[in-house]
Amino acid sequence: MPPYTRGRKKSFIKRKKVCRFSTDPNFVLDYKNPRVLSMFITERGKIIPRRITGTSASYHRALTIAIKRARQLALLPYSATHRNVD
Amino acid sequence: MREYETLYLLKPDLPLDIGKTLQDKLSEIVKKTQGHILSRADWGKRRLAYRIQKFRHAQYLYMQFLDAGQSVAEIERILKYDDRVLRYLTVKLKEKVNVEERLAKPVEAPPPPEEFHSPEMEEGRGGGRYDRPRHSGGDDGGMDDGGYAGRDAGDRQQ
Repeated sequence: MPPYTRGRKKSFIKRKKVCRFSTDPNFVLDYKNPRVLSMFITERGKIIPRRITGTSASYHRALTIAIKRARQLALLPYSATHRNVD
Repeated sequence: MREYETLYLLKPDLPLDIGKTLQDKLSEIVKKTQGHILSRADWGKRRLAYRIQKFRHAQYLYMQFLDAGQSVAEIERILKYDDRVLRYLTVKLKEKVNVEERLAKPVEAPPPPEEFHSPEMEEGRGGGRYDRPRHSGGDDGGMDDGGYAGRDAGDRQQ
């Protein structure tokens, strides 16, 4: 192995991502709880993919439903820009 | 019996007792159709995440109940044709509920959640319509972890 490549490759720290719903019992998934749900949407109001948040597949499916329900009831925004539409 | 919850939004400019009257009316329907009311809650006037019919606020009302089969359709029909109601949503919480067991258990209505405030909304409160460009480059709102730029941000560059 050429010695100069060792440790010189593009290195990045891989952070272990864990599903916050399955690890933390205080993290209750409910469409009536916009504070928890808002951690999983971008500033623009889009749902963050689970490859970023690390949410488990089953919880992510439930999460998208919860976010969409919360949007219907105006607990969460559909988009950050619709405040501009007067 | 099935367990349901209904959350609905009333226009903010109504007299205060309309909420209670409507809750009583819906409770009456549930009882008439052999259902049971588990809990009721009034979250009061809350700020909406977006405007509905030009209203920025709405009164949120919550109801949890057991249904023998007919009440949900009737409740939704009433909420649908009442133009004081801005939004409504009924969610099934549990299929096949043992009525005696469920009624023996104490039920607490969920507390009203905190209102949603995104930083952008805060900053936009005083600003006008044109206070910021509609498209701010390719950056689709910075993310806390990892800086996810959004799928279409990448598409746009091609």
